[in-house]
Amino acid sequence: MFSFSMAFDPFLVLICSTGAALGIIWGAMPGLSTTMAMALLVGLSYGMATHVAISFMLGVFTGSVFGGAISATLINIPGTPDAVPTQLAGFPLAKKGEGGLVLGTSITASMIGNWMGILLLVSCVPFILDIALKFASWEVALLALWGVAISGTLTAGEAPLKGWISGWLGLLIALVGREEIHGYERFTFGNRELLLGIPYIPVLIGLFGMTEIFDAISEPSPYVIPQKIGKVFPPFTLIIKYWKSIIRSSFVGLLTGVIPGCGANVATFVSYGVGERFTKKKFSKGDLEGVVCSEVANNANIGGALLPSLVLGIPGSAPTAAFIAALGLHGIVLGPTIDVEQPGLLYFVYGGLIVANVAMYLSAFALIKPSVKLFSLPRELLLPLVTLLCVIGSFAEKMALFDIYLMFGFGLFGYIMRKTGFPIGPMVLGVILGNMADQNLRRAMEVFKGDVIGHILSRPVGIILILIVILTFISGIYRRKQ
Amino acid sequence: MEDSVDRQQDPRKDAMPAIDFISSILLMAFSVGIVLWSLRMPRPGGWSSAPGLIPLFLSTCTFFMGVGLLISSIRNKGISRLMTKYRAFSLSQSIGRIKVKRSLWIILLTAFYFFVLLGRIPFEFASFIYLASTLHIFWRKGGWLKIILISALLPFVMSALFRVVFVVFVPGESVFDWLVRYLK
Repeated sequence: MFSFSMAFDPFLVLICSTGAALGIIWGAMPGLSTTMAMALLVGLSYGMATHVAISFMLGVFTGSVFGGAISATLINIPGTPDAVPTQLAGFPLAKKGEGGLVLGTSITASMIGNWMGILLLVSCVPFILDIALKFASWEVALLALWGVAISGTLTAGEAPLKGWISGWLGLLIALVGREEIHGYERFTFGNRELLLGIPYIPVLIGLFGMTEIFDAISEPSPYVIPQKIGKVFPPFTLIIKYWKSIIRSSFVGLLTGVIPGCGANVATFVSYGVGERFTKKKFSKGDLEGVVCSEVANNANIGGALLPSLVLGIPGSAPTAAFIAALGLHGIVLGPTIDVEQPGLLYFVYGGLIVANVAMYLSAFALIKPSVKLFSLPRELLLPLVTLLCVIGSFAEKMALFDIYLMFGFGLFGYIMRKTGFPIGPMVLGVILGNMADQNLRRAMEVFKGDVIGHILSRPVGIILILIVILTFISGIYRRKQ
Repeated sequence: MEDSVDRQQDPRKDAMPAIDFISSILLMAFSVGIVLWSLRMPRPGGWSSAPGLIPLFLSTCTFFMGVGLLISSIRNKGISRLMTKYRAFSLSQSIGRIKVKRSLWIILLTAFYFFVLLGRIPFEFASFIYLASTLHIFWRKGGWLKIILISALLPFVMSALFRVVFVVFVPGESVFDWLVRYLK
């Protein structure tokens, strides 16, 4: 039996807070993603009581989503994929000695994002479900393509073409392996290790972690990680100033969370891009508003992603897929009948999210100074140590040395890309969203067979998405000409 | 990340059209290869669900993006800049540059750690060798005692943290695995 008040039981609060603190540390470590943390917890949670497992997982989920911002801001390596926009907007400020303010703003924005996510989760359930249910394969595929296109536009600066190339190469990389519709092996060169495809965790760690290591060590006089990060608590007026971005990013985070497969990574990229357009600012020069857009969106995304997971049993994101699996181990099947079969569970989850949010906020401020000390070590000492984390992070998911070799290969490739002016972010997003785009586009084509144009024209949401994709490309070309 | 791109682009903006010229040629060749490969893939349920459909679409787009990059490079005098760079190029001078030397060292040491050490000897020992050698080369201020201590202790701490707290395996056998076997 579950209830809202049960989530505030002192023991469960302690468990949830421990989860949030561990999640922050986990998320801060380059390459150790929220998905990996949640996936590892599936097995671990089996030995826990159901209430304890849910509280702990919600704590880790909330903590690790924020944790990515710490290393993204201080050492220019995002701890999690969704922290890339925070890195873009926050690291230039950290180099100027404002790392503390960036982190303080990130924490506050994350907390606000979580509150907005919880509020919207509770109040907008029927309305958002209506919209999400209109997304069929065709719309999901278009959404994936748009995610890659917009990240290409916003990360490549003056050369959006290079961003799109990077994203499209990422999509192609994701197609390696046995495809799921006919079981045909694509681009595997007969290698058995590639049958299941190229896992995105080694790719992410290689492209972000190893590339940074190769690049930063090769620079005899690189940037200096600031020893003093300035004040941490952001002034209240700062948050008030960005209220429009907070509301906009909350909706972006929630909506992308509701759409199955679109996790916090899509949320932050979209929120960041939309934020740049609305404010007419270039966040990548260092801007707290960019940090707010990114952090509010990825935390609001938690509430959004839990919505289809709890009510439909369809994971809104990869970490919520692990959450569903963990509850399944405890005999809880999520779906439309959840309120009948597990009375009070929804309210227990709402309570757990509130506790996790408060715990994340307090733990994050407590963990900033130790984190700064950790990441303020001499660069020549820190980066080889980060290599060890990259090794463990790549190895952990499948326990295969091949994944470490992949990470090295992608690290080298990322280093070359950086030297030749190609942004790395779109490629990572392409690798993550590639399979989603492939399967959904082919499913849609199968449904549309016979009258493709007629079917496309009969789907208004799809038409809007096509126009958005086209506008993204046109605006990129226009920006280049400007 | 973009900042890093900018950091790389600014001092040698004039070299970028030449780099773009080479990149575009490689990209177009790669795309043509994928187009041909995709066309050779079977179509068991017709073209609409063919495994090669999406690779064909993506590689065709990539080819045209490569064409765009080539045009932009030619407009920015990419070919003449490439020829100038080629004439001025000297392998010994390039390798002698401090940045290139440091890059080569870190890449070679990391490759040795990943491909030769990991999985063959326990993680802690493999990491000790890697850390001691990289810190010796790059962290001159550290002093040998600090380097030895850090290189020896840190892999043990990390291995213990991940094996015991996070229950995550490390590549190759860990000393803690030996310990567990011995205690059993």
